[in-house]
Amino acid sequence: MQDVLYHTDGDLLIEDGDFVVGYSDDQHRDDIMMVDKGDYKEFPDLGVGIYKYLEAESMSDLLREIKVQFTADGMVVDEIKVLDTGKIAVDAKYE
Amino acid sequence: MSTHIVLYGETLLKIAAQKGNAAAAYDIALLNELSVSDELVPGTVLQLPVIEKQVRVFESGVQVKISSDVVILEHQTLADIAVQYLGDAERLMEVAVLNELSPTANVQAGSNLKVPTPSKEKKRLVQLFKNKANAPATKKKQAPGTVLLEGIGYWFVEVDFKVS
Repeated sequence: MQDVLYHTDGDLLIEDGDFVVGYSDDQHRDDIMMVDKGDYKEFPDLGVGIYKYLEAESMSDLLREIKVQFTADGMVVDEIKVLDTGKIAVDAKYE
Repeated sequence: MSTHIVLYGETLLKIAAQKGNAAAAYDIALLNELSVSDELVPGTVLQLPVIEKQVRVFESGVQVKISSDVVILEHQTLADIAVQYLGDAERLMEVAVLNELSPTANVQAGSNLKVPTPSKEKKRLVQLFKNKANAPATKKKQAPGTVLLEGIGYWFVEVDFKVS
């Protein structure tokens, strides 16, 4: 998917005085994980709100919520797991 | 279909609110080929659509307003309130008019607001936000380490300085 990109600080990425458009799937995945429900006013039930799981005892709720949200946004989730390093690996693509 | 003769100082929102449903201002505007924010000329005859009142009428004839009082939580905006209690940010104007506020008003946490009832289709969403931990709060979102810029163009009236 192509969309307007933003900088790592969350602000719009601007080069040569113009927006930068490029491959944006990773950006969408990041967004959905970070935002909380109600943040996107048009689609209030979209968003994982990952910070809420910071002190959760089990990761299974988080993994399930990511899968539900990604699927609702039109992705096919093939695999989702927590690596030994503590990182979350998601294999999901937009159809 | 009924009509209404505009009095001095009336706006579409005021007329709609008097008729029992502020959100109907848009329907009135559309029907009369006006913009919702247009200044009305006193004496103009407006066509009124059938307005679904936000009141419940009991058999005894007693009317009860279908709205409830809610408390604003920390960092919430009116749009958050519309999403939380109505499941629909597009009803922001309705909440604003019902409380005689601007839709962008800086509302204080702890104060009370009136909200209309959510539609049936949005009940599931409203249920989701029943738990206060899930309540949307836009103003809290600020990336850690954000440097707040100062100066004209960055300051907000009534936030960073007061006009007196």
